[in-house]
Amino acid sequence: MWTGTVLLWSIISFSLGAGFVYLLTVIKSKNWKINWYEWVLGLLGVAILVITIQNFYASFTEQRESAAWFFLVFPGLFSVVFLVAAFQLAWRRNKAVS
Amino acid sequence: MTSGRDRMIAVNPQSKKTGVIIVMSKFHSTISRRDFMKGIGLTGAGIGAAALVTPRFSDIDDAVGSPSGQEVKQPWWVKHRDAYNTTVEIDWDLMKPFAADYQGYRFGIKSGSSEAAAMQAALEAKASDVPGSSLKDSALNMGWRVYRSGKWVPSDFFGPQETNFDTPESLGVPKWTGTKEENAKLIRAAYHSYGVPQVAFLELDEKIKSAIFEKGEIRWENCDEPYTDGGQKVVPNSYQYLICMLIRQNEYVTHFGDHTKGYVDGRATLNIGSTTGYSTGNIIGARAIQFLKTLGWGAVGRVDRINVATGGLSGLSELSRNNHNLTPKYGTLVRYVRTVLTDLPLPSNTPIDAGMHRFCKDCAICANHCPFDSIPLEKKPSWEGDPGPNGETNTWNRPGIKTWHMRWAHCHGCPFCDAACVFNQMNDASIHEMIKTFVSVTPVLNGFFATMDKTYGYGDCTKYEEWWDRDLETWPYDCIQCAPTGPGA
Repeated sequence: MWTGTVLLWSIISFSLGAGFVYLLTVIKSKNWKINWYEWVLGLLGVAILVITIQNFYASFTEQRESAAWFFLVFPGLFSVVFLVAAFQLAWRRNKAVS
Repeated sequence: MTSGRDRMIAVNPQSKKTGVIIVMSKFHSTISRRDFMKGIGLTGAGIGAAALVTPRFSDIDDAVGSPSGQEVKQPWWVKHRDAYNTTVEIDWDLMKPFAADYQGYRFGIKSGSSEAAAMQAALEAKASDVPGSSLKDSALNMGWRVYRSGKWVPSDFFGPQETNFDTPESLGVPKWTGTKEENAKLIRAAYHSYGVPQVAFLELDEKIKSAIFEKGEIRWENCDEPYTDGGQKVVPNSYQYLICMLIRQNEYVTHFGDHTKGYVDGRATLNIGSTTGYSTGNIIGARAIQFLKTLGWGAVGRVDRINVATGGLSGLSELSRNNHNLTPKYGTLVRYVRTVLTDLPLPSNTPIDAGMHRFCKDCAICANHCPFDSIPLEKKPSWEGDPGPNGETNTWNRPGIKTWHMRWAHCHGCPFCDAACVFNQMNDASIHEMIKTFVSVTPVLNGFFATMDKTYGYGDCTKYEEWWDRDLETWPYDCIQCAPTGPGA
């Protein structure tokens, strides 16, 4: 059944897929090397981001607006920290090498 | 009169002069639909295209000023018509009060005819193995038939007392037989359609009888049919199988009310949640009994006074701090476990462990929400019951169970403890199932989760004042009869 939830997750899925392909393209074009722990941090950040979005959206469905906003703080901030950390680690190391 | 403008006689309050003024109602226009379409540039469009965009209102006032709820909300492609102007043509000059004379016909057959006799014989033909004509199909139908005519004489214990239900005798077939597992599957399939999300079974022994039946409520003896003896229910010795049905109650309305304001405020709405469960449970119980009777087996109902013990022993629930059924999927938002006692052989289910009873040690949100101090706050459960408010002997908590013994003398039966439970979330957000999974494995974060529940406001009351204005098209928490179930229902 066509609902806002289906639309939301279609957009998220497409964005994640397109974003991942773009990331791989950039890594290859710049000849970067990504360590395994940087991949783990990045994927963890993306997973937590997806969980944050789902719970944020669904909390409004549950009529729990205050819980929705709290989700942006926890675990939302954790996802931002992981993603930034993964990017910074990879970027600084590859910049130093180049 | 100029189109769209009305003329009025009025007095200028400043000059005190009387004159004619032109009053333009806010958007009212008596322009025709054709002129309106011309005005928005669509007159040249083809009939088909114009029909697609023809507005659903007779004028602009109607479009912008129509109060919400004036018309039944339909999908966007539906056009509304004027009063009396249905899509079927009606000659109102011929439309008079009318009473049909069926002239002896019923469902295509004239009574008394040879064709009627042949059809009657066919309708009374033995149930067969053809899908849709078997005994179990008839039993499913008979369960739904309860209260169909509105003449149902209810009896919680004996079941529906109408005489027009099919039985194996009336159908000329032997009664249903199957293995215990086949019987269990059959019952779960039928009862789910009647509205029971989960069904468990217990084969009775003396331990279970001691735990779940109220003292003196029921006795077994060597008789053919159940009966009542004074206030006691008497059943045949063969009635050794208990069907345990989880009866839900509406989550959202259970959260009405504010525990900080006590019990008097919002008194009417505080009862709605439990009433949804009791009301629907009665008719579900009747359907459940009739289903079994049509299969050819004995059944009596409502032997579930100590239904929390039934839920715990049958694997439907664990025991919560507030001594209710605490279920993995619905928390304490189940009204009760309704039972049917039968002689149809059934398997016996076993208790569950989802870490919920253990969670109650670190939580106590229900106890903190109770306005009447009826739920103990101690971390650990106890074998000892609580003395009464005036120090009298506690006769309302049974010995033999290690729990947080309720101060029943204080309890006013409000919904705040049930509404506050951490496990009572509407399961749209994925975090709830994640936490339940974690809690079932280890208690190390139980205190953290309980604190987060309070921080995130999950135990707060819902916005009752806005409930009457909810958008009926998108509201997900009403109980629409015969609506299809979805995942997690």
